[in-house]
Amino acid sequence: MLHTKNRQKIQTIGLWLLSLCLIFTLFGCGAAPEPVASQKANELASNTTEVNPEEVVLAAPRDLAPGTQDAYYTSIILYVWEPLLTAGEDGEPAPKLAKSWQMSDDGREWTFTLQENVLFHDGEKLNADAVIANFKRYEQVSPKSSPFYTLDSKKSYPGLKEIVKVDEHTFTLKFENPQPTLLYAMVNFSSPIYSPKNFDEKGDFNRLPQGTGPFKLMAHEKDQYALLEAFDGYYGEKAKSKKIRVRVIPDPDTRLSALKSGEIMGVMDLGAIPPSLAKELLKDDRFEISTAKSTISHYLHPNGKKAPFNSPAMRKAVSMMIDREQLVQELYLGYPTATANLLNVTSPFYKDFAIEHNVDEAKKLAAEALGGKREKIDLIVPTYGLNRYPYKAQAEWLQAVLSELNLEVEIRILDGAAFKDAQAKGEYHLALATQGLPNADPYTIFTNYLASDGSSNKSYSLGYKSERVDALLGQAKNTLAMEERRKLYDELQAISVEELPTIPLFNDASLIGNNKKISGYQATIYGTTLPQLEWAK
Amino acid sequence: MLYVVRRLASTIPILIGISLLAFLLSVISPGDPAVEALSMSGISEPTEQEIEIKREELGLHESLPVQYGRWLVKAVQGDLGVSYMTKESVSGEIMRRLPVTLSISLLSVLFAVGLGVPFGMLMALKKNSWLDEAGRFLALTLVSIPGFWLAISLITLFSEKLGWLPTSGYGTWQHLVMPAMVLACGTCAILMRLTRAALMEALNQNYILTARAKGLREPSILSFHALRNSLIPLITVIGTYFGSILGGSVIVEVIFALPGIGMFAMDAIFRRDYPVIQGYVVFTGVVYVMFNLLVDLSYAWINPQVKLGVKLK
Amino acid sequence: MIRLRLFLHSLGPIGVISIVILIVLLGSSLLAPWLAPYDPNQIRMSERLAPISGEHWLGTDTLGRDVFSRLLYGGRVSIMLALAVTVATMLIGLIIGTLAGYFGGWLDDVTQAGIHIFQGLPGLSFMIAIAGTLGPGVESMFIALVVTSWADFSRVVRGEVMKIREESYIEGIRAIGGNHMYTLIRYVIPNMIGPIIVLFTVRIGRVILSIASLSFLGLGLQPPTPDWGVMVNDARPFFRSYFHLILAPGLCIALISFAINCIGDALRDALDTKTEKAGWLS
Repeated sequence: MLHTKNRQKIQTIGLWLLSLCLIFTLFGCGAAPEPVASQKANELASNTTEVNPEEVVLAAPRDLAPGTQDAYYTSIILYVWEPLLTAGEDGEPAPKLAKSWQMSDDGREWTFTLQENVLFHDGEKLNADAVIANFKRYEQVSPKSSPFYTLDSKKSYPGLKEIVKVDEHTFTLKFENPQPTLLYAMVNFSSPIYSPKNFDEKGDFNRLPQGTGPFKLMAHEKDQYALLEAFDGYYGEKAKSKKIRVRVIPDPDTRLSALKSGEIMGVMDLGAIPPSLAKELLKDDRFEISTAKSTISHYLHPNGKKAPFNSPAMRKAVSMMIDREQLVQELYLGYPTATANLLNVTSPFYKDFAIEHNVDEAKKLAAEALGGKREKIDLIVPTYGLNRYPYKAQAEWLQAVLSELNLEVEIRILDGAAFKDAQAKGEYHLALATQGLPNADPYTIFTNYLASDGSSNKSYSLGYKSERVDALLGQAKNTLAMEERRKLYDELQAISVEELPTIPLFNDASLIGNNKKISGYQATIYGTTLPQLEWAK
Repeated sequence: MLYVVRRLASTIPILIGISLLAFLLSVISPGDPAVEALSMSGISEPTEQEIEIKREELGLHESLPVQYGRWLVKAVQGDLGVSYMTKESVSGEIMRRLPVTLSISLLSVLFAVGLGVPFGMLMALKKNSWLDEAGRFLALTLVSIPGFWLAISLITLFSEKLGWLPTSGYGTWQHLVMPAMVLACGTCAILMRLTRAALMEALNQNYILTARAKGLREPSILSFHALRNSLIPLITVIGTYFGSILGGSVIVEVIFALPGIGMFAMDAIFRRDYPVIQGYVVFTGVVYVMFNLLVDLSYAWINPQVKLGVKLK
Repeated sequence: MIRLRLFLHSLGPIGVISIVILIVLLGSSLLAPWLAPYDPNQIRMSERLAPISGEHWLGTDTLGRDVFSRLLYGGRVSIMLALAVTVATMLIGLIIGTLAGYFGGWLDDVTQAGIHIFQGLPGLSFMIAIAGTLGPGVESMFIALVVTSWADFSRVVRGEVMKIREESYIEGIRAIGGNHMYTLIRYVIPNMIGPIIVLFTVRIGRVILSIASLSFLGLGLQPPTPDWGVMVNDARPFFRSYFHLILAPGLCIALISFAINCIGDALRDALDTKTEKAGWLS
């Protein structure tokens, strides 16, 4: 029959094509990037069986070395560059590249003495000229944005007239007005110092960053990894690991898998390991976690420009209704600390206030403010918070809690830009938000949130206005004596707790995890003890 | 040949259309790139004055047609501009990320075609056998698994438990296996089913036609035609699929920490980084247009009767 | 009748199971308010992550909500949305694809350009733009999903039509005076039913999966809506210790998609005129 013949023919063609496809597939698998494969395969094998003694691999959720166009090239937590001043354990400014300083009596001149025998990674010496070159760059590029902190010398060094070299290791900053809190503003990201030969004519980096830190950045591939090597010429205690590779793994769950598979030895940076995953990690006794206070505060922003949260009583009701302790214990597994204070706990000016949690009182206040009616409100949540924090669960929990106040909460998850837009336009009632501490001087954060024309107050539509606060802020600005200032700051904190321009929930904890094969790896307020990291004995 | 030239010429309005639509979409999305660029750190909020200066710098104070026009003029000269956020060149960034996306795309197309087509053929040839049944079950399973669920399971199994493959990152072929598997899954199933359906149809059609009109036509030509005809839907699916994953697959890239084009685009979209969005969209546009052209040309090659868009007489 | 028998025949044992699965899943979703032992959104912080027990058949989630109750409710929105999106996509795709493929010429050029533009645009930017302007929610997801998928559909339909219109019998029909409308409805469209049904069923499954994927990015259904995709996502931090939390909703998504696809397959075999004439049963 004709058609059977035909069929056979098609079958033959079919089988032929089939084998062709299979060969194609096999070939395709074999032809994938070969040259690096064998070398990397070895690495992989050694990772799973025995540890590679040369290199410690860690991972972070984001790229910590964004590159030449960034204000800092790398985050401070990679220890490639160092600031003039850093923050001590107590949050007070502490010496780093500047070992001592002196303020003139009128507060208009600050003289700094530099650490001696400090070398940049490119062999240049740290001296007053190098610092002056860096200050010139600040001025040239400010404000320069960065995913870490915006570099803005106009804010950190307001009214800086000139910078004068006194001798090889001494320089003076001269200001138009007294700057009693200058030191607080200079901490960490406000005074990064690089080799004077490290910049191009636009003030961008012309090559890898040449800092003074215990680690040199040897190579980096954007959104893949940054490779650090211990700097032999470091003036202080040298880094204990020869090489550290920090990989970028954005997904928290993948990071946990990578830890468990032995591919990485530890995690770092904000949101390194969410609390629920930390708990999971601890179930495996090959791992340990380390926590420290964090500069991040979590707030619940109320829209103070419209009903119902334009009424302080209503804000108070919400604040009293929320069982912060339960939130912290259940959803954050007890790592952070509940707070009623706007100011972050790491600030040296932080004052502890009792947290008022009183359901009956809250209901009474809400009933009065709402006139017994049920009010529909919306709670907006930014998508960027979802990976780092249990924000969805938190929103759902708040929804349940607030419904007892006769508030019918609708949750809207918005991407970052839409979230900011909704806040700026006041198209929201409540918002989940995080705030980092801009610097150790609380003046900035108080001004941002509490001043009638404060930038956060405006961009979040907090609608807060208090003449007393404006007066206090004006007074603080011109107060030279630190003790006087402290009193003013105390009062400002007390007012914020009472009037709630925003509703503080808790101070976050910085949380990292690592394999017990490495030791000396601890969380710090912002970052880790990377230079102390070494293979466990 | 004329057809190819005409088609290439017709891609220009398409690319303009794509970029215009992308521009409009970016602009109507709430949010201000100037604010985004100034508050990348999320630590401090810029003041109104700073925002004004930034808007000026980015050219955002201009009217929309002027903004678009300015971009277009530069784009035509091959300059896609720089990112609002990072100040890096957009085309440079795309080219840097292209190998990542290209390698997972190629591998997953190989997986999908290499498994889908032969299995589909086997299923059609051994119709109603246990093989057909098993293949059907496999296809249905593959198409039904949520990608991110599969990704998580694969990582847990192959990396965490067995330690065979790295969890994430880019560098060796081992890094590409799991992402490509996840991406290939659904399309592999579609190809299996389409191949089976198309081939069976061809076989049957052939059977009828041969039975009806014995000897009227040369059977071998007929069979070739039948088989070739059945390739049309396959090529369409493969072409669009390859084109679409070249645009990046965000979820796979996020889970497997692959610094590909999808992740780049998602960040840009979330940050309203217009030049990056535009550049990305033009890139995917070019890829689409190219693949579409290839698919259409292959129609003509497979079935010469298709008169390449010439109106039916 | 023949078709019904054909349909049942081509279902096979897997298909029969699929129908049962589909009926169970759809039924339980519909009857969720009566079947669910608890309010799916009732938060009990004291009972967080409770194990499987007689009280909570599938335990509780991270906020102490009953997982079984959430599972019953979890299909409602996704399934309805997926159906609506797919039907809309199919209608648009069928009309545009058929017209373009059949008439060709400038009409084809214009629709091709439209198809290219929409295919060339990343779906995510649509989603964000639309969610941003309309606010996140079911309506914006519907619009975004339709807008991003009509083009694929149209394109496949167009390819099929281009193939069919060159068949000799179509020319024959045209020669004996059949007008375009008649030819299209009577001959062209029926001849595409096979591929279209396969695509349709694949699409429904895909849309259910994309809804789940969107919630991966946080842009899907808004909380506290119980939804399978959202539940899988919420369970991610806990699945190593509480595997059922991710398995149950994941399985529901996989099963419903499996069942729909399987039934679609059988439908295809039953409806395909050519296959039928070929004496599939003989």
